Amino acid sequence: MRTQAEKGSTFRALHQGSGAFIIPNPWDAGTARLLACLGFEALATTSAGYAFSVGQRDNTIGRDRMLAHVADIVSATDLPVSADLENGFGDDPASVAETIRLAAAAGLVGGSIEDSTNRPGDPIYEHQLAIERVRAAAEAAHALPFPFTLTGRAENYLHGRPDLADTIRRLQAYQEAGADVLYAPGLRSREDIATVVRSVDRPVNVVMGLQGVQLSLAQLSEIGVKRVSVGSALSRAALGAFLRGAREMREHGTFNFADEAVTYRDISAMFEA
Amino acid sequence: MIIALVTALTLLCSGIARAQAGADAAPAFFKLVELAPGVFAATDIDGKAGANAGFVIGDDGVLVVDSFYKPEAAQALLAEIHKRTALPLRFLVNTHYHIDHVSGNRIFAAAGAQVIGQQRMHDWVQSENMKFLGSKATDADRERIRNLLPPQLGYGQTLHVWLGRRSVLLRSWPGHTGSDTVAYVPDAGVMFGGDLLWSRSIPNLIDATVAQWTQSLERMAEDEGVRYNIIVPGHGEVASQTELAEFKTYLTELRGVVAKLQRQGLAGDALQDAALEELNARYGSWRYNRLMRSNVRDMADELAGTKRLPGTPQRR
Repeated sequence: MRTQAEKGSTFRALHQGSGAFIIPNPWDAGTARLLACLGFEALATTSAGYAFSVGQRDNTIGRDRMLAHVADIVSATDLPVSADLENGFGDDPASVAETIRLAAAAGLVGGSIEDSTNRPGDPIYEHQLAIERVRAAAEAAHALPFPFTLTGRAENYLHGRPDLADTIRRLQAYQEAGADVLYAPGLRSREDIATVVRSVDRPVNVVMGLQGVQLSLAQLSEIGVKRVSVGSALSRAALGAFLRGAREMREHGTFNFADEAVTYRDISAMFEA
Repeated sequence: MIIALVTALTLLCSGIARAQAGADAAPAFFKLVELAPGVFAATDIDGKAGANAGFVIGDDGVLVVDSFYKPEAAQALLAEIHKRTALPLRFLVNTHYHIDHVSGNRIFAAAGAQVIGQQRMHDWVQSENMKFLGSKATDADRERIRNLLPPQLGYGQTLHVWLGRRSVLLRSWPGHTGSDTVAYVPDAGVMFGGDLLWSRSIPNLIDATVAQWTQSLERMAEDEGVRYNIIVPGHGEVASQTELAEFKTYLTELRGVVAKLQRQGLAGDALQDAALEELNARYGSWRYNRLMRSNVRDMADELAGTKRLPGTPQRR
């Protein structure tokens, strides 16, 4: 087993490569081990994927349960793990800093803090508070005895605010406040992603797996993206297959879905190691 | 040198020469469009007027926004106003002091207008405009600038101008020169943005504070609950919130790219070359793209804290 410091250094180094790397998002120990088995070099959690696996909506899990979940993902493999820490589970900067310390204690070597409030009608923290929250997270992260990679997230696009300039301005400010990686989920065009990459000087994470967006890892590397996550897309893809099978049984009384299933022997082999 | 920074204003020396010669009186200086009942935009045709202008007809008078670079264009606009209304010309608003927006001030004043501007611009009309004259400027050029009419009325943050029941709201937003006015016509949803908005055009940053400008752009198109989607820019065609968002992105990216390259230790020509390569990816097709290099230089100065702004001693 690698130490947390080793994982932290490995994870940071992945962002310094010439191209982009994919950090896929498992939602339980099993999917984490499958991704490790396929050779991925780091894992990211998905708050939505985990919430769906326990029959809840995203952003309803709470800090304690989420940290217990990410600890499960950490212990499932020897890979570095970065967690989706939602908005830090609190409005005030002190709560966000505490979340980072707890995340480190859970074995993580990275985590993201969103600037979304979870309040309809007022979905995004105003600039100053948003910056203070990232600053508090960065100070907590950088006081740890190992490299902890903090991702600052600007959530405008996920909340009906497709304002590229404001999103970039926020990412620039989060960079100044100490974020190590920057991330604006929901960007769809290659041109907008390239603009964000050019406008900041920290590695940029991009989420793929949104419907209607067709950019490959090679294309994203070419415009300077360093990290590609898929959010809850793998979870939703798996649940999509699950629902198709369930509906087929319920509506037609047939079982053809099993033709698409991974074989018992193959999946067992992947869990052997 | 400086003349190269502001070629978007058209080549001023040669422009002055042509104006004095009274050469070919091309009738079409601008395209006149009625954006809403009684609200007109006069958009420059190929630099013949030098900038955009407009006017608003109220119940009891007319308010004009900006007076062009070419005095002949101002005369032509005055004639167009007289064709459309017999109401008196009451006000001329200058969106800022740059010579391509104030050269016809005396023409409208002689026709009865009181000239209004944000208070800081008053002293700059006859002083700061000198810097737009190149090294070949003649005494006549300098005399022309000394003869420009500055505003007769100044305001600080906000001024309401009533033309009978119709109101025009003037607000000062920082960014382009440090003394910029946006003129809103709330009942028509039209705003005259002056040079705070450049529509798919590389702006002139000679007097700009980009940090303030981007913040102004965040807020200026919505005022007292009215969202303005018909925006007359200082240069280029009548625009909407889409072009405003694009322009905001340009300034934000410019700032980010230059700051990044400075942190990498680049300066001078090397920084400019590297920045142009990045910015051309998205903005190479914009109008006035040859101004981009001076934009990078101005941005670098602003970030380094060495930029000279209007009203401070000239940089040597």
